[in-house]
Amino acid sequence: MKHLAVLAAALWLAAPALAETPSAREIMQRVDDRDDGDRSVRELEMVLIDKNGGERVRRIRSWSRDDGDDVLSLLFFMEPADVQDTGFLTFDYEGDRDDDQWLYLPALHKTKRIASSDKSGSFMGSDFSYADLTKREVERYDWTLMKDDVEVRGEPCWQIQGIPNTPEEIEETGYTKKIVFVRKDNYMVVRGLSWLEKGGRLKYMDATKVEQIDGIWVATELQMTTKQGKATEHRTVMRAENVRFDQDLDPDLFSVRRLEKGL
Amino acid sequence: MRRALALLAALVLAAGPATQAAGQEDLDELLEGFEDESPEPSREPAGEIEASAPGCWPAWLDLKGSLSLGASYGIVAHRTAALPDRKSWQGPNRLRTKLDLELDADLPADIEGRISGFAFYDAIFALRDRSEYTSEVREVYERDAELEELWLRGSPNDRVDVKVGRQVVNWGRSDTLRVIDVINPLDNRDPGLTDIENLRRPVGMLRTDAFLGDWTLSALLIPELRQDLLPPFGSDFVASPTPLPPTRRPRHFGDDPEFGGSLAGVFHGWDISFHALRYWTNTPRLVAIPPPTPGPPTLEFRHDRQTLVGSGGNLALGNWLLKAELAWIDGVRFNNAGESDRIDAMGGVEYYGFDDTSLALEVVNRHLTDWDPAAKRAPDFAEEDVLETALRVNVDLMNARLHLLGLLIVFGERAQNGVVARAQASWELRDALELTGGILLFANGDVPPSDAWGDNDRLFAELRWSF
Repeated sequence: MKHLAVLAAALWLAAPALAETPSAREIMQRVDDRDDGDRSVRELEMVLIDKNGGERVRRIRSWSRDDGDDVLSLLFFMEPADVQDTGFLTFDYEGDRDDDQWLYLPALHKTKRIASSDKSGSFMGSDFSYADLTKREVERYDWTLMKDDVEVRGEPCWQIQGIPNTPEEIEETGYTKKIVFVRKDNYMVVRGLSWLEKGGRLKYMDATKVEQIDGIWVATELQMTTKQGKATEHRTVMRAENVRFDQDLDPDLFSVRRLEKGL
Repeated sequence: MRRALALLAALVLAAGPATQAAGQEDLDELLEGFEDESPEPSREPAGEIEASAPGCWPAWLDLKGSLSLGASYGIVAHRTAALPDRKSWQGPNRLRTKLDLELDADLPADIEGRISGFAFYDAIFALRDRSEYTSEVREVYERDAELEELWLRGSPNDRVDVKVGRQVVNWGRSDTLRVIDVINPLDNRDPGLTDIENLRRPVGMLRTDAFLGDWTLSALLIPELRQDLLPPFGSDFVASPTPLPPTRRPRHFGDDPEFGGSLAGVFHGWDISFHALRYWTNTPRLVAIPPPTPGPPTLEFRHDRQTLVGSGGNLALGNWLLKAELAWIDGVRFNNAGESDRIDAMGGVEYYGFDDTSLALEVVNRHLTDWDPAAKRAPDFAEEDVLETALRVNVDLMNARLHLLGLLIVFGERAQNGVVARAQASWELRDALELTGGILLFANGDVPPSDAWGDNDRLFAELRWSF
């Protein structure tokens, strides 16, 4: 009986500390619930850097709008010239529903529907995959809090491990495991290390510049590095500029009609 | 046994912390990867996008284009009937410089416009003996310049777009074979060498699109007549030993125009469209005209007036895209048989489940409903059913720096109407500068025009700078 009293006292004393440290799952749910803005417009520059330092540049203009839990996005390539005006329209649905994707190829004068539930492919030759650029559902992973006292660029962070809990998630993303660093003050994932299923490679995501725009925290510079062991195979720097939220984006903007009309 | 188990348990317990520690060390080492010093890319940030645009044009104009140098080399030593004195078609047969330009304009009242065109010059005719070519070949392949797109587009209201001028309208779902994609003729002067995306010839038309929710209703009126550009007499793709008969122009601008319309719906995971078109065939057929007095017939090429009613659709299932097209064509004519209808049906599948790779298989069957065996005779060479199969593989490697394409098109279920195969690799030397090289292989068919293909295998290369 005395033992029970001691245990109860210990639990009571520990309670505030437990309340202050949410579980990994709770943290990741807050990451998912974080306000990441709506009806946004931005310009993106992707610099593709090979292992010898050779650079190629892609420039993109994109629009995005929430439709309930779904996300509609439209983007057009501005550079390089050989892919200029190529457009990509995506309806990213919440849940297990497959996304709708259309690609407009100006040379073909045709909009092509793309069927790809597999998101592990490279986004336009970059180190980012389509899975990296879309939200993954929190419940598809088993989350473990590894450390709650780490810092990234001086900002306190949680270090959390995520293991996909279904083979489908591994197939769709190409990742077997990931470790993310979540900033404690704004619930942003500022770093991520992902284990690729194929080739034994690792991908390092680093939000090297984070800003608050219209009250929304935005990673305005992201780096994704693909490594084999310690050797860098390829790296992509993605910068966002002229980011604006709450723009007057008509739902008709996210249509095949608009895709074919171009910028 | 119990002792052994105890020993094993002890070993596991002893090894646990050590393994954990080693794992933590490995992880720490991996996480050090974030701290690697990476040089900053040399480019300006995206904020400079607008500022870095060419400043010599006003903001409402956008000029783009490409300059390319293309070469090809005939692999097989052979002769053709049209040029019996030419020793061989083996060797270099193309050294073409081509300029493509496209100017887009944002005009007042939300009207947009485009003008585009190309010009090319093939230096191979200066480098080789000109007597190795017929005058028809020199005329078609040595130099050319053409106005392509020329249109204005506006929206009288939120639900309607109107586009007038030379333009391309592509109804098809297939990437390689044509069933309902019949509006624009093709520039097919170099069979197999160019992908269909660069082949369509814009035609002058008035197009009106009305957008009603998920549906789009389109109407087309096409007064301009343009036709396929085909290899001329003397080309190694033409078997005829004598100059080709003339082509009768079926009409002039505005006379007896083509017209049609479509209704297309786009939905979650699928889309469907319905089409109707009264048109002139893009590819002419050879007609033998009986003489008024006994003697050989006169030959000429003619374009026929036909009606197409068709439908197309896509269905996305996971990583699979199913495609279908169906067309009923009225007014198919022959020299040796009566008029017939034709039903063209296409089924296709694309697979996107492999990283950075797409596979596409398409099969078309063209069936004549009232086929008369007499239609098999020259110059019709018409079978009751003709099967066409296309297999296409696209692979992006090295972060899309290297693009591989494989294309196989088989005409006839036993390849009796010929085969075209193309394998090519494109390497992005730097932004907007691409080098492409590949091989083009042919197998002869039994009937024209594929009976002249078999020895025309080529190696090809192109350097293209886009701006």
